[in-house]
Amino acid sequence: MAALLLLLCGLFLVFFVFPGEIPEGLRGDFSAGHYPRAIMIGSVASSIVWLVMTWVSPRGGADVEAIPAWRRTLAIFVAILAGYVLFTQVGFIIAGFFLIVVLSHLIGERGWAPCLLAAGVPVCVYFFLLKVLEVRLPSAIF
Amino acid sequence: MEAIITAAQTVFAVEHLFYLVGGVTIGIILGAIPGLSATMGIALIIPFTLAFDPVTALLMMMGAYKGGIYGGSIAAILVRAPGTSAAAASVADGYALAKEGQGLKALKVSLVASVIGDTFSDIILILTAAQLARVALEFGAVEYTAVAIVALTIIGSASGESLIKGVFAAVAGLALALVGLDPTTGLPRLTFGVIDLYGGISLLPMLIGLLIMSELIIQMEQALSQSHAHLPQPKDRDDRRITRSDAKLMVAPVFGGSIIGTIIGIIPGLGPTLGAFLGYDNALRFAKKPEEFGKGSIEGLAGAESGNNAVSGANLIPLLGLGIPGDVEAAILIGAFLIHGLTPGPQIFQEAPDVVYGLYMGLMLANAAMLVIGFSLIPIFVRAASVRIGLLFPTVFVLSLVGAYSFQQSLFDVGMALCFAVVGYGMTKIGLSKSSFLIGFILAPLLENNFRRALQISDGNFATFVSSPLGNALWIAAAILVVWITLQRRARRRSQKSTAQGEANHV
Repeated sequence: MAALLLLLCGLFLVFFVFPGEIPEGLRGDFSAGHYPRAIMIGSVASSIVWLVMTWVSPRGGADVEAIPAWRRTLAIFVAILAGYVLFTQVGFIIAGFFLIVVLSHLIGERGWAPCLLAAGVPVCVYFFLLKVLEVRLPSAIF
Repeated sequence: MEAIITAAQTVFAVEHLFYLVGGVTIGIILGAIPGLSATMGIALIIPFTLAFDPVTALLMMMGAYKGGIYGGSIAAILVRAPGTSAAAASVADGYALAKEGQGLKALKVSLVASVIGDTFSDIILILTAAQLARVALEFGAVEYTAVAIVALTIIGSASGESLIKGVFAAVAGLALALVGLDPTTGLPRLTFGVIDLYGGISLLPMLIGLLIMSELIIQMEQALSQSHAHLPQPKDRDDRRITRSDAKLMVAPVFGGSIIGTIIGIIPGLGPTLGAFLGYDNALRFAKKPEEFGKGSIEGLAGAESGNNAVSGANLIPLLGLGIPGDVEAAILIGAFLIHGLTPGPQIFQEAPDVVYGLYMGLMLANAAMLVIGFSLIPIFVRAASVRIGLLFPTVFVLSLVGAYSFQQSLFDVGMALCFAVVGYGMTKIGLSKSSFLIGFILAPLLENNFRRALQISDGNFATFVSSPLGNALWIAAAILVVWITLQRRARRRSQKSTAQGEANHV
C-alpha cells in the first residue's frame, strides 16, 4: 500500500510537477533538467521494485506498522499543532507550558510534576537563550 | 606550527574545556535515556552551539558524539534498551552482569573499553586523515562523483530490514535536495514560489523534525509505563569495580576490538554495528572463558564496546579526508560542519588547519573527559536511564522546537521541522529508513555538483566517468562495497533465521 502510494506520488511529480518547476537550463547545458529527472526516475524505479517485492513477499504485502492507540496519536498531533499556533501567535512561554502539560497528560503523567515542569522549563529556556545565546524567542504576550 | 599553537590556545581555554566537558556529559546522559539516542543528542545540541565559534561548537558536538555512543551502552546494560544499534552487541552480556548485581562493573568495563577503542582510532585519525586529504586534493569532478556513490553505500548498513526501502529513502533524500536554486543556472527549482525555499530545505530543522520530533511522537504514542533501571545491589566490593583478573581478561578483546573497529570505521558504509559485532566475535574467538559469552562475559562486553567506539573515531577519517560520512552520526556531523560555515573534506586542511588541529586535540581531551566523567558520574547516568519519560519527552519536544527556531530565528523553520516530524512518523510506520533518507539528502550536493560539472567539462560525454584511473578505482571500491554489504546482510538474515528456528525447536 505504502509502496503503491509513493509510486503514484513519484509519477505525479514527474509528469505534472516537474515540467513547471524544473528549469531546463541554458542551451548546451546538458544536465540542468536531466539530473532531477534521473533522480525521480530512480525514485519511481525503486518504488516499483519495492511494490513488487511486497507483493511477492511471503508475509503477503503488509508493510505498514500498526498504530497502537490511534486516538492518543491523533491527540498528540492535535496538541502539537495547537502548540505551534500558540508559539507563533502567543509566544514561546505559553506554548511551552501548554505542550508540556498536555503531552505529559496524554502519555499518562498525573499530579503536579508536569505543571511545575511546564511552569519552570519554558521560562528558564527563554531567559537562557536571551541572555546567553542572544536569541529572542517569540513572545507576543510574554 | 602557528595553526597548532592557535588550536591549542582555543582548545585549552577554560570556557572551551567547559563546553567540551559539557558536551560529553550531555551526550552520555542523552544516550543513556531509553528512547533517545546519540544521533538525537547530537541533533538536539547543534542549535545551541550556533552562538559559539566553529572550534568550540565542534568540540561540544564531538564530545556529545562520543558521549552519546557510550551512553547508548548504559541503556543497553541497565534496561536492555540499547540507545544505538551498535550497543545491541553489549545487551546480552551487559544486562546479564547487571542482573547479577555487577551492573557497576559492567558500566566501568564498557567505559574503559570504549575510551581505549576511541583513543586508538583517534590516533589513527590524526596519523592518516591528512595523508588521505593529500590524495583527495588530486580528485576532480569525476572522482568526487565516484566518492559520493561510495558514500551512498552507507545505506546498505543504515537501511535496516529492507534494502530496497533504504534505497528508496536515499533516492527520496536526493530528490528533496533538488528543492532550491539550480546550482548551475541559479533558477528556482521545486520552490512553488515560496521565497523561504529558495535556499533549499534547511538541514537543521529537517534533522530536528525527522530525528527528534518524529521519534518523540512515536515514543509518546507507545509510552504509558515509565522505564526503570533495576540495578540489583552488588554483593561484594568486587562487583562494583574492575578487578585485576577482569583487567587481564579485557586486554585481548579491547586490543582486537580497537583494531577491527578502526578498520571498519575507515570504510564508509559498514557502520558501527558491524564493528561492535565483529569486536564481540573476535573476543569470542580468542576468549579465555568462552562459556560465559551471552551470560555475562567481561571479554564479550569489552570486545563489543571497543569495536563500537573505535568505529566512531575512525569514521572521521573519510569525513575529514574526503568529506563523506562513514555512518549516520558522521553524516549529521557533516551537517554541523556546514551549519558553522565549514566544509569537511580535504580543503579544510588548507583553509582552516587550526580547526583541524583543534578537533584532534579536542577528540583526545574528550576521551579523557569521558573517562573521568564516566567514572565519577555513573550514579547520575543510572538515574538518567530510569528517568520518568512522561516528563522528559514533552520537555525534549519543547527544546527541539526551540532548536528549530534558533537556527535562523524563523517560524518557517519551526513549521518545516513539524512537517518533517510528520514525514518522519510516516516513514517509521512504513519502515522507511530515516538514516538513509538523511544520507541521500546530505550527499546530494556533492553528487549533483560534481556529476554535472564532469558532464559539462566533457560536453555531455558519459565516458568521462570511466576515463580516470583514480575514478575507476573508486567505482570498483563502490562495487566491492555493494557486494560485501549485500552478502553481509544475507548472512545476517540467515543467521537470524537459524537462531529463530533453533529457539522454536527448543521450545
